[in-house]
Amino acid sequence: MPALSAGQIMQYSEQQALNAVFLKTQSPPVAATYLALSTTAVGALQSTELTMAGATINEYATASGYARQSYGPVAATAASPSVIYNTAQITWGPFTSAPGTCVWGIACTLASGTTANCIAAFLLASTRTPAIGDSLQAAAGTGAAGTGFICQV
Amino acid sequence: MPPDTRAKPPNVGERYIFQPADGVGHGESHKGSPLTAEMTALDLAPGTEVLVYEIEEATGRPILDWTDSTGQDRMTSFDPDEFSGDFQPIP
Repeated sequence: MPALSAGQIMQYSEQQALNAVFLKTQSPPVAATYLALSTTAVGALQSTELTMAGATINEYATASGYARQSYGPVAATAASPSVIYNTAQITWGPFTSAPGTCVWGIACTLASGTTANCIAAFLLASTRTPAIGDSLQAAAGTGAAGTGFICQV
Repeated sequence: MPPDTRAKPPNVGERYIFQPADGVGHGESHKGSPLTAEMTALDLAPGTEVLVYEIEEATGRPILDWTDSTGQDRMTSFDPDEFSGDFQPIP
């Protein structure tokens, strides 16, 4: 199975995108998407994980006060390569217990639960380990590489 | 026996006010000591209105949608027992 070593679209959304652009199926309806946090080591997250139940997902536990946040992306840019990214700062927490070291952001289809489909994974520029009482904040995207959670086809 | 003023288990779409008995922010309460100014600004502060966005199916934990002091939209998972003591429903 291919392991992710940088941010990329995952299998579920690869299939959706290809089926849509080659007119095999209708695109899925407009809906909110969410950004989860994962402790999986670099190189161990599998792009073939279809749902947040996957063995290599390792999402923060909600017992720490953690919850997925709205991703809130722009529409895909009119450029080649086209990109999509979050338009606002994203903040998780406050944490009521130490949730561990965060390595990845994972965009997915539901606000909670392991049935959410995985859309894309974003490798953090540097890991973060929030303490009790902390909140964890990510920058708003600008379209520039390395700022916010940016995804490119 | 005094009347039970604890909030009932929440339902999706209901609105509540965060009114913790200790009068401090959620993160600060769990830490047990004051937060930095930056983290205080991002903490769930007493008096904040929250919306029950979802109930996590596996745990029954409410996921609350709220706005922090910087104007950012946030979602935070809450322990159900803690929720009952710390929130008052908005009629």
